[in-house]
Order: sequence, then structure tokens, then C-alpha cells
Amino acid sequence: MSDGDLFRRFVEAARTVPGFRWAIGGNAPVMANRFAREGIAKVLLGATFTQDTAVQGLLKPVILAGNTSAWKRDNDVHLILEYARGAKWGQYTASRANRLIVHSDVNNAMLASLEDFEKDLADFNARLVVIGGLQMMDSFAYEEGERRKLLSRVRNVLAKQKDSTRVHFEMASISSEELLSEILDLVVPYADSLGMNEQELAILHGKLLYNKIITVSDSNPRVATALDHMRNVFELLGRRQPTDGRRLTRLHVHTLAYQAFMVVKGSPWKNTAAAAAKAALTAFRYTCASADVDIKKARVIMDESFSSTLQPSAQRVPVDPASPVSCWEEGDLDICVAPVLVCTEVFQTAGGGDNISSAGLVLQI
Amino acid sequence: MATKATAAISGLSSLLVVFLAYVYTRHSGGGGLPLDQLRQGLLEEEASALVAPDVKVAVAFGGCVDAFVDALSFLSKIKAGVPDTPKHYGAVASQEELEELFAYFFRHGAASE
Repeated sequence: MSDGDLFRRFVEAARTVPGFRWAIGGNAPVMANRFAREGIAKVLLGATFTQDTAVQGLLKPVILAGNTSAWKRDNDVHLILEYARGAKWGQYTASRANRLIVHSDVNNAMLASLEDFEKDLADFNARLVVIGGLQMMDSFAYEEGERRKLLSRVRNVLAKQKDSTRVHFEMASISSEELLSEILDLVVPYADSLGMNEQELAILHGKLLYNKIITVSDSNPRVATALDHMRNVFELLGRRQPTDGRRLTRLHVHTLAYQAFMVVKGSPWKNTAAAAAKAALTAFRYTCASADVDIKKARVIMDESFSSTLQPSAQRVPVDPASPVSCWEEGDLDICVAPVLVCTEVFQTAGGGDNISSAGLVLQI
Repeated sequence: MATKATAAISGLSSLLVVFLAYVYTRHSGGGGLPLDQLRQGLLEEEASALVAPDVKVAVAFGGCVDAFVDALSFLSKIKAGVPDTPKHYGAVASQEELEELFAYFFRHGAASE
């Protein structure tokens, strides 16, 4: 929101609504907590908070880059408007449970934690570096060339990483053509792995294939469609490689109905089938806010079989309930698709993608 | 006598089949995938691999506090009007624009920020 005062009044109004709650947020902190929860020994987090929020909101294994110098006076607030499947507003009905996020923050658009993150990263010896939250740069009034400069600094940080340190970039919904182009030039080529949901896949695919941004897409795409988009993304990105970039070896698409993984054979990513299962289970655990998977609160959207592609060469892949993650080889790719037990008593949807993607990574590194 | 018994038994069998089918479909997915088996299968697959010990991960950017609120209750609280025309905005400068933006994404069930 461009009007900070109006936004503050909205937050005050929201606070009086029954059921209102606070939680630590932002893509990186949410991912950091999930990494910690899943057993990663130490997590370096590039983010800034008030001292109270940092201390109370982050799990023990998570350390803030810059330490106490990352503490600030006020937190940036994101207002998350959540709604249920079938909810009615005037003449409109929601086709699935989801949310709209409204904010007016500046810090995240300026990547305030970049300098500390870069410094601490040098000695941290990370197995994996994860970059996300770049959608905060969308629709922000930068000075001429300022955003590109910031992203170039991100590029420099990633380009400096050892070959043995893997880089994952978590996509987000971006509406600015320019920002998406800059991300494609400066960040994506330095990632070994990409994570995204079905809309972000459609955006990336559309941008790579037609150089256009699609704003809203099918909220429940067929497996074949997503897999075809993923195959295209591998191919199209493969052609754009800069000389100092990395080859894309992993793609994880998280959708409401299933988790799709594509991993290049012989690459260091391990346990793809287990990772796909964990990602699918995390989708339920997070949205239902329950570590225990209760089938009374679950439904399945996937059919008993799916087509591997929309092309004529399609194979029919049956889902074996006893071994529900379907994996097969295709050229130099290993592909795995896991059905999601979709939560029917949704507690939260915002942050789902970050939780699912992080969970999808921990078994693979 | 025998035919009446046979009829009764086959009647009961049909009822049993219908009952079992009802129980089965209550616990299966959209296309008939059985939930409890799926759950078991996924849990076993997940447990087949372990997180490597002493692994370090670095992650950036974005730090904020999330304020969660029910969308419709919030809209009612700020006395939002339902717009006739949903519109997509990158940035929103007024309550009216928020209403139009909300309707745009609400209708399509797409996630956005």
C-alpha cells in the first residue's frame, strides 16, 4: 500500500476482529524456522526484526545475520486477509481457501539485511543458500536503476559461493515485467534449484516462452500441464546460461493437489521420493496446523492415475496407494509426483509455500 | 420357503454391499484414492530418509510480522463495499482500490501479496 497511514489504520482495525493473531513472518524467517524444525543443525537468517520478535519468534538453531545489529525499532507488518473455500463476498465466491497480503514496508524492498547476510555467509560454510522474498521488490518506487543495483549485489553474493554450496531460489508472484526480467538475469542463473507454486510456474513459463507475464492462472492444474511447463522451464533456462552461472538441476513445484519434483540424474540432490512425500505431508501439517495427519480433516484431489504429459507420447501413471509417490526416469531427469492430503479444516494458508519448499529441501542436501 | 430365504439373503447382501461402498467412499479421495493408505504410504516414504546431521543452511530475505485476520470480517469492519469490477493493482492507494484488488484475487482463488 502506498499510503502508510491508511495501512496503519487497517492494521488497527484488523486487531479488533475476533481471531486476529500475530506471527513472525517473511519468506526467509518462515523458511528458517521450518529448516530448524525439520532438524537442520544451524540456520543463518538474513532478516531484520525488533529484539522481542527475533528472540521469541525464531527457533534455537536460527541465528540472525549481523546478530544484535539486525535488531530494529519497529517491525514491518504484513496484513494477511485469509478466506475459506466457498466463502462468499457479495456476488463473488472463493474457489479455494487462500489469502491476500497487504503491506507498506520499505525495509524488505531495500533488502536491508543484505550486507550482514553477505558478511556472515563468508564464514558460515553453508551446504545450501536459499534466496526468497524478492517479490517485496515488486511495485516499490525505486530510484532509477536502484532495484537492478540491489539485485546485482545479490548476484555477486551467489556468484561467490563455492560449487559445493548449493543455491535454491524460491519464486513468488511477481507482477512487474521488469522485476521478473531482472530476476531472470541476475538471480535465477545462479540457482541450482527453483521452488514455486502453480501460479509462479505459469508466470515463469509464460515469461520464458512468450516474454509476457500472466497474472492469474488455473488454481488446480493437471499434473501433465505442470510437468510440461517444468520440462520447458528446464530446457529454456538451460539455453540462457551465463558463463559464470549454474546449471539448473532441481525444480520443485508445489500445488494444492500434488508435489512435483524434477531432478537431474547424477546431481547431488538425494532422496527425491522421500522429499516429495515430506513436502506433501508438510502441506497438510502446515495448513491444518497439526503435526499429526488426521484423515478426517483431509481430502485428495488427485485421481487414481495421471498422464505424464499433454504430448501424444503420454504415459498413464497409476497412483499406487501403498507407494503413493510416483517416480520415473525421463532422459536425464528423475521425476517424482506425490499426492497431497489436502487439509479440509484450514487454519492458515499464508506461508504454506515456504514451509513446503523448505521441507522439500531438507532430505535432499 | 427356499426362494423367500434366497431373496432375503440376496437383499441383505445388496444392502451390505451398498453399506460397504458408502464406508469406502467416505474415506477415499476425489478419484477414489483411499486416504488412510495414502497417509501410511506417504509417512513411510518420508521416514525412509533422514536429515543429514551437522548441516548448515543460510536463507534470506524478508522479515516482518504477519498479522492474520479473517478477510470477510476485516472487510466488514472497515465497511468495505463489494465492487462491481474487480481490478488488479500492483500497489493500492485507497480502500476502494483494496476492495477491487481483493475481489480480483478472491474470485480466482489465487494467492497474492
